[in-house]
Amino acid sequence: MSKKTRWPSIDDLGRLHLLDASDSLQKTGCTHQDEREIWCQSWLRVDEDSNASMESKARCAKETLQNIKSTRKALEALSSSLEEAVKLVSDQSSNAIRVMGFSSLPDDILARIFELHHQHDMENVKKGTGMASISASNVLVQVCRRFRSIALRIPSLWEDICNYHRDAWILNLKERSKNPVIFITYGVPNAGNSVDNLLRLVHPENQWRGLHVRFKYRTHWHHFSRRFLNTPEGGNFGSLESLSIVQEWDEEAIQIDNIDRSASEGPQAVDLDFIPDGEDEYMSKSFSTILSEWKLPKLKTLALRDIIPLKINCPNLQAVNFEISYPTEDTYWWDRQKLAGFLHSLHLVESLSFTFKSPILVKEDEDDTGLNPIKFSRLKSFTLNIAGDTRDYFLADLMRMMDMTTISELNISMAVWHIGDEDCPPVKFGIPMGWLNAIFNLQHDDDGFGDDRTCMFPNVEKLHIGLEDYNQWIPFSRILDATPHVRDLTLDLPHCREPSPYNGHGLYCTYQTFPCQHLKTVKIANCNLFNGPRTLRFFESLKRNGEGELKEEDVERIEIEGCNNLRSSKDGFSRCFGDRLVWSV
Amino acid sequence: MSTTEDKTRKVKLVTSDNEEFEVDWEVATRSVLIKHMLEDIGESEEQAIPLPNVTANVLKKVLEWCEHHRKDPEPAPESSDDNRKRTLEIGDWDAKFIQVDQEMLFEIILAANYLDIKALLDVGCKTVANMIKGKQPEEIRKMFNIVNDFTPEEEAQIKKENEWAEDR
Repeated sequence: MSKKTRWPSIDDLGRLHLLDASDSLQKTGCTHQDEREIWCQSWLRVDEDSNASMESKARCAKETLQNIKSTRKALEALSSSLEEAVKLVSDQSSNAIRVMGFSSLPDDILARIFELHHQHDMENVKKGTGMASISASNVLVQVCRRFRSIALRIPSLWEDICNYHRDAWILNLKERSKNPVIFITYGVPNAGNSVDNLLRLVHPENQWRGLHVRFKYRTHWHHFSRRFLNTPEGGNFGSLESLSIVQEWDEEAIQIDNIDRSASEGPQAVDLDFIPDGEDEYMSKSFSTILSEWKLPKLKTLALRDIIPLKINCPNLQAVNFEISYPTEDTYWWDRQKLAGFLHSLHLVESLSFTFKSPILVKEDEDDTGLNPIKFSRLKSFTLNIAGDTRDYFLADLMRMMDMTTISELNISMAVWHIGDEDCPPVKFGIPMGWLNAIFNLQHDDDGFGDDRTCMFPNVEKLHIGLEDYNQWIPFSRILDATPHVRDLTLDLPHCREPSPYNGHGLYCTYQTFPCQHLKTVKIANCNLFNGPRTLRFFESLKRNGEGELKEEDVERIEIEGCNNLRSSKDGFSRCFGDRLVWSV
Repeated sequence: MSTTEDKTRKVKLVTSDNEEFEVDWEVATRSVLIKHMLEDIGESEEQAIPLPNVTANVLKKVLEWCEHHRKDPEPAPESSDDNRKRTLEIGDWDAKFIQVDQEMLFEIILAANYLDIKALLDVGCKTVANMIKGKQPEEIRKMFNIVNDFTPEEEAQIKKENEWAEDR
């Protein structure tokens, strides 16, 4: 104690009454009905005595009040003292409690914390440069012996090895994790040597759990891939679960690549698979062929950017993330036949995500309209991210290639131009509409309902549509018509117009004519241009009872988030949907 | 699978400091431990479940979480929780709920571990992982009052490792 505090004095009377009250409380087991039983039994007796004179009552009242005031004073003094004691003990013990707190956590919980910490770090790495750094795990082993001991026993904290790590560190990591995840980047100085060095140190590749390669030029890819063709394993990635190969296009890189090759190849179109004569055996293999020859029996996730393999041999592949773009002003195309072959080899995947940024697909002149679409027997989730000048006929062609009848979740995100880019021209009205027409196989007529179009997505239950561009309109009714079993609908359309409350015949939609009668949850997010009354009128059609009460089987939840223009109709939505409406700013 | 009868049933829990809590079956069975114990004792409504490793103030907090999450779907099996584990994001309500002092944070983690409430354990572990995130060893020591107990030889080894670990 560093200071003395002067508390109010406690007289004997107060202290004695406090002790009596405490005894009384203990005897009754805190079950008394009248507080006077605890604090002033004499007054209780006198007060209830009908024979007691007024004089004796007054005298007793005075004494009683004096006693209980003394008691209260004693209690206040004790209480103040106790408060101070709590504060002092809390302050003095907080360090000890903190030490005890952390040390009280068992090793398996600390290990879980370390893994979460590491996984978060790696997720950020993948979103950013895609390259592993000397990670947060290295910090943990420097804290104390216990941290070090636990962290070193978790192989996953040490599995990320990159070609820009130093040799001694690579060997250190290899020692700590038997199934490393290899990160290769050619975007570092002296990349060729560092990649050679890394592959020499982390051999053999059949123990790798993951492989992530980013390169800019075709020569990089050949440099990398021929390393495996020279080994007895020959591209046998028996333990690989995750693979990503990313071609990092940038204007400068492409120009350099073109200049290099134009000297020997002449001014012809850039074809990624074009191989000059006279190259060695490995250089003469195309991207697609090399990748197609790899053995990947355990691969679960695959991400490819601007590479189309001929096929891929992955019987356990679950999720594919595939991106193709149109990187230069020069003539540039993707081989449609190759894409079809690749998709054929994915027939067992559960989740497909495509990103298209203005790709151009070429195909032979042969008529393929009679060919059967590829069936994906396990496919549940399909995501399409469409951007730039992607042509609707490209999408229509792609959709014709695939049978989408098994999918239950469909996500479509569209952005013609990157919003905020000052140089971008205004988006021509109707481009996203063209994409949607292609995806959903909608006709370009206005007849609305009742035609015999093929339903592309008969089993979709969860639908998300996002569009970034300004001043666009989306054919909501037709889309819902093409996804008749949707239960969860999310619209994220910041600059789009609202759904029309009229059907194709110019009549107000009703529950009977509403295209999608299974909707249970609707989320309208960031739809800032939606007109309140018209939007309300559209979604009112979800009620079986028209303007009457909601029924049990009607929509269960309608969530509106950040839609400025809908605020004026908030009361209307509340009246219509009651407690099933969730409104967030 | 829970039945309608289960949902109306009450469960008595007794803490290490002898405090008794009566809660809905649906709330109590967010804990896999309690769920299994209830299955073991059968229909007996009177029998209280003893929880000798949890104090009343901690159980009160844990039950607050269970009450809020009573309608959540059953947690996924261990093998399929990869996505859940990868992010350190915590829902708004959980983030507010877990804003407690370190002592209570660790108590909640221990209780969630003992009671086998994976989602709550995740919230606690993510909170600690977030506290560690981006910090240097010395900052972590200071935050949790951890003593640097390395010998000079071990310190030298760590220093050497760090030299190796520097990127090219």
